[in-house]
Amino acid sequence: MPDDHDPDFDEDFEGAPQAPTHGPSHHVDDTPTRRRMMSLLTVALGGVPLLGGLLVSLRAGLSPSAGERPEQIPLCPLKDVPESGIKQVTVTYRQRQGALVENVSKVVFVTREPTSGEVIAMLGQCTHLACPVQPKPVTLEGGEVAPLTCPCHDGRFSATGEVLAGPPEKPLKRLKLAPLPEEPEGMLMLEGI
Amino acid sequence: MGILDHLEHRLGIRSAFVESMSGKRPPAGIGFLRCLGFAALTVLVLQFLSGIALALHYQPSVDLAYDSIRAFEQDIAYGRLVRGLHHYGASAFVVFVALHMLRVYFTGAYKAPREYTWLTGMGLLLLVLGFGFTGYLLPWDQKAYFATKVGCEIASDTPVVGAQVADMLRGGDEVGQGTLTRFYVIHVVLLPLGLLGLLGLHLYLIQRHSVAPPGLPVGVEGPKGPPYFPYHTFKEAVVGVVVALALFVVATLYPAELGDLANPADTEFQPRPDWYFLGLFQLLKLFPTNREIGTFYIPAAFVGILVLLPFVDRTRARHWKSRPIATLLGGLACIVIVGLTAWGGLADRMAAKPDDAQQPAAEDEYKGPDMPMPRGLTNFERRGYQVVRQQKCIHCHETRLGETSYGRMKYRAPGLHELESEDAIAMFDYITQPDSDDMPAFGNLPAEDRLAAASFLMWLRQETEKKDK
Repeated sequence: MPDDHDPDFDEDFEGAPQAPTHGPSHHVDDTPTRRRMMSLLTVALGGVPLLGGLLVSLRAGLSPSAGERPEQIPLCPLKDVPESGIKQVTVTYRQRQGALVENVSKVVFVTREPTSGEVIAMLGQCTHLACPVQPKPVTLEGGEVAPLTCPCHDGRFSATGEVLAGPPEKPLKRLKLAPLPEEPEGMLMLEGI
Repeated sequence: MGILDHLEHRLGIRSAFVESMSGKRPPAGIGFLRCLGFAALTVLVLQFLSGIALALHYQPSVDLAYDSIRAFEQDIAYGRLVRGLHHYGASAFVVFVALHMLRVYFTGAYKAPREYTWLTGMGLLLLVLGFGFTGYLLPWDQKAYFATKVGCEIASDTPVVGAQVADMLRGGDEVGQGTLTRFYVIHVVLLPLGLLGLLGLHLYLIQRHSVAPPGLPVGVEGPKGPPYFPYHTFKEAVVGVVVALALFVVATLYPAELGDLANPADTEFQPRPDWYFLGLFQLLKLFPTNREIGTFYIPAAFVGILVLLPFVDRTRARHWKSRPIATLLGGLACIVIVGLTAWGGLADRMAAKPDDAQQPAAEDEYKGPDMPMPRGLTNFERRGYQVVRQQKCIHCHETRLGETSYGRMKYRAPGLHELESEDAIAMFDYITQPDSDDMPAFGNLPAEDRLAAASFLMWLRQETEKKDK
């Protein structure tokens, strides 16, 4: 009860029975050892619901939802791959993530290996920090031309995705192609992205 | 007995706060420099209020997030102002927290017994940066999408658990709806809870230990100044009004920017982080190999040094002149951070331009502005709009949207708003296999994209006809 006298307070409780100052109480054996033991138990018991809740909630909350994506993704007709130069294709595929089904779009560069003529596909995403790679030729200091560039930290790539300059350490990610179609009109298929 | 006295007796708020504060006498000689923390607190209150207003209208879905922000700005009274307040408030918060920290550093106020006030302050600074990073994504425009993609890539440089950290942030292996949901929850639930807890502790510790006496070494109690309340609080109130006024003026004069809707397939866009991460972003140019030195080890070491600072620096001197090494190191750190940020800001202009000469036949290409995304589109029509934009239809079809025209006519092509197809199916067939030699066939696009484009074009024609009547 507050110490300072407030007549208003007394008014509210006029006639209220006074609590006995001495009365029967449960006997508690309050020794220092017992007190320490009970304190420890309180903290330990209090921690159980907290830790239990934290553990399962964090585990469930932080895990990404289970997902799936198609095994084969159509890229472009074989006849569209230029004999020299780079073709930029935007592929779109359905990806499931938990209850969510999204159309994911990604930029892919398709070209031919200059010596063997083999068709190759690369992800248009810089291997440094995932910025979008642009098909804009830039002349390097030595006079060499880099046909693919990343604007973020000036990464430069060759037509086949090798690093020519800048911070990227790895070449552009090569995407696996399904066996080429026999007809030129046939569709090139990516196996995974 | 008045109602105020009654409430005071029951609640005891006046004696607990005001009177205890007016009984407290901070050291003499503290001025406006000791109000920077309060400036940050003022911004924080505005951030909470404007943030709640935004959250009441915001739709955390990739289909609606962008439009919900746009509608909030265009349709709601004070919407533009409130979003401006929140946008500039985020920057102001970082500025005041940083200035406050510099003041504490250079006046040696972090020394005993205030080590934990400093530590909670460091925690608050990190939370503020977390707010900035997660809030940046929410408008779902181009810079939001690409900056987050880069940010999650940087998070993957954390040693040992990097890949897991990045997956946890993204909620999967792509930045998409899962990421938006997570960032939204982190931004409006987790971070505010953490912030309120830490801030309570921070303010409690300031009350417990008061302000460090200016210029005096640890252990020396100088002369006391006038009571904290109402003398220092008056200065704080003035600072609060000035800060709030400045934010209102800036938010009114320069509305916050909302870029184009996020488009993952865009290769033209150049990602930039918000200005307070620019220094960090620029740092990466200095580490052509082993980028994790720039993305993880240097920032982690910097934060680690700051966290340990009051426990390592056990000297007694507080005045900056009496601790030349600490002053020198602090000054250097400031110069490096400001320098990197300024360099990052200038980098756009200094960046090597692509060789325009080598671009194929750009001579008669349409170089005007793109048609902005109209309002009132369904999700499907919005996708159609993006297909139309990606396929650069307006490079041959001059098109009217409302009162404005976009694109230019080539091969005497009709405007996109006046195409004659009977319905969306006929439009779909035409896009797939046109009966004109000038119009290319778009049969290689996914059927869904062609149908979406057809739906959008039907909407565009009906909308134009409606407006023309």
